[in-house]
Amino acid sequence: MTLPAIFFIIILVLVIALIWLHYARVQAGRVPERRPLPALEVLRAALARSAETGRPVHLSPGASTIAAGEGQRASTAELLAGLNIIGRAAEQAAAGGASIVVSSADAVAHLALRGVVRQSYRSFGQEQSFDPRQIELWAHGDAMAYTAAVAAIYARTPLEASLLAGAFAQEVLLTAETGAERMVPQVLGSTHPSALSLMAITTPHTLIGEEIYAAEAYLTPTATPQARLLTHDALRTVVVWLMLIAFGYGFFRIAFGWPALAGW
Amino acid sequence: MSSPLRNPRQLITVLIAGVSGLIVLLDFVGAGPAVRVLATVLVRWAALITAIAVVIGIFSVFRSHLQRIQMRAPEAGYSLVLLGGMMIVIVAGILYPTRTATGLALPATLAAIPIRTVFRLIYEPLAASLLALLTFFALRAMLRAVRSGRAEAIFVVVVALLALILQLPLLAVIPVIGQAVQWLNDYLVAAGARGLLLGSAIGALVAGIRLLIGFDMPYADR
Repeated sequence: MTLPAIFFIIILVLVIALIWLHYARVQAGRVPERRPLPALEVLRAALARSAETGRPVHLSPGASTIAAGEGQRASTAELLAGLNIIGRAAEQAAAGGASIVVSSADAVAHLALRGVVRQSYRSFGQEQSFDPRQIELWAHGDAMAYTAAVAAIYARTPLEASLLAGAFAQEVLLTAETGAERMVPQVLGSTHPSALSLMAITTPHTLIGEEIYAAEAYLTPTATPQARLLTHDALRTVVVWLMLIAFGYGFFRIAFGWPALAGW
Repeated sequence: MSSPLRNPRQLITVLIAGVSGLIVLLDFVGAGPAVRVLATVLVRWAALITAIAVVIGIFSVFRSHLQRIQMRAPEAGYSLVLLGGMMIVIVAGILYPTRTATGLALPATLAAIPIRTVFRLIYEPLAASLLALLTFFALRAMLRAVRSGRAEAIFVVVVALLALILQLPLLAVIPVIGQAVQWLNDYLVAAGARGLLLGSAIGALVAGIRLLIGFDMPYADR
């Protein structure tokens, strides 16, 4: 077994231990205070309004694909984040009787979405309200075609709000600008810098980078997403400390003649 | 969280997903030839299952649009175009015979001549037109952002405009400006992008591991 493999296994075991530790901590009722994410309040409010107006809330994990191949934009993690957010939003829809339309741009993601939304309705005892036609496949493997389809839906269907959280690039402008023009409240999230800048100019409700992974914890009080958030924060703190230590070492090593760090 | 330990069906699902994911991950970091063989088999299975899912999806799309045409739905015209396009691509990509040195042959890959011609003549101009439209959308979004008065939107617009102006050929030749833009790109922009990347990477790591250990099961329609 190579050195990177051994290092990887150690990291894996540590992260698994950290996840279990935080899960136990949250189960014991030790939930920390979180900074507000106003974008998710917009989604919550739209889901609540939808139950009264009957207008659907559109939910999308982006033009993400599972197991992106060589040369494709790897977006499995963003898709998982999008699935988690949609699952929690669907729970709120099931609990409050809101109407939702869920779309995707990948056949496998489409099947995963059906499973996630069905689970959400079932967990609230509302399986009879689940309609598989709520989940639609609007394109496959073509981000531009997908965003054009979302823009067409904005033009055709009166929506209460739209959530697009997942893998997007600059093509998101096609959808986001159409939504802004038609005054559809939009919650947009991505980890792609070029998409984020376009999202920032089209809507005030953006989820920036890691916030799409944290969003689930804001939409539900259950232990699992809170534990995930705590693990994110713990790992981020470790990374920040490692960077500070490496920076300090690099600063002093010249003065004291210490050896350089590998890769720096 | 409903524990997989209390549900044998869920436990089996989690074990299959977790062990498969772990094998592919270990192969990614170079865990040895035995793991490589297993990982290759698993990835091929996954590719096969994905292909089957796509074929099922195609049949579903075909049936749904055919129904719309039969029912003479208000937008049945679009369905007709979609089905026509689908048939052209399938025939050109799989069934259209081409003349080769040894006689007639069916296309070997989806990048072979008939399908490539279809894509070059229809798909590529359409995709290019949509991309070109983004320029006008960007302009409109910029004006709307300035009118809205939101500080972060105005900031993005001002920085974008500055970046465009500073890259003009006339200004790029001035040494101080060229160096300043380079410095901004190398330090400020790279630092921001790396910060975003690190946060996202941590999120992706935790999301992946939670899937491996069965905390999240999007694959299980339980």
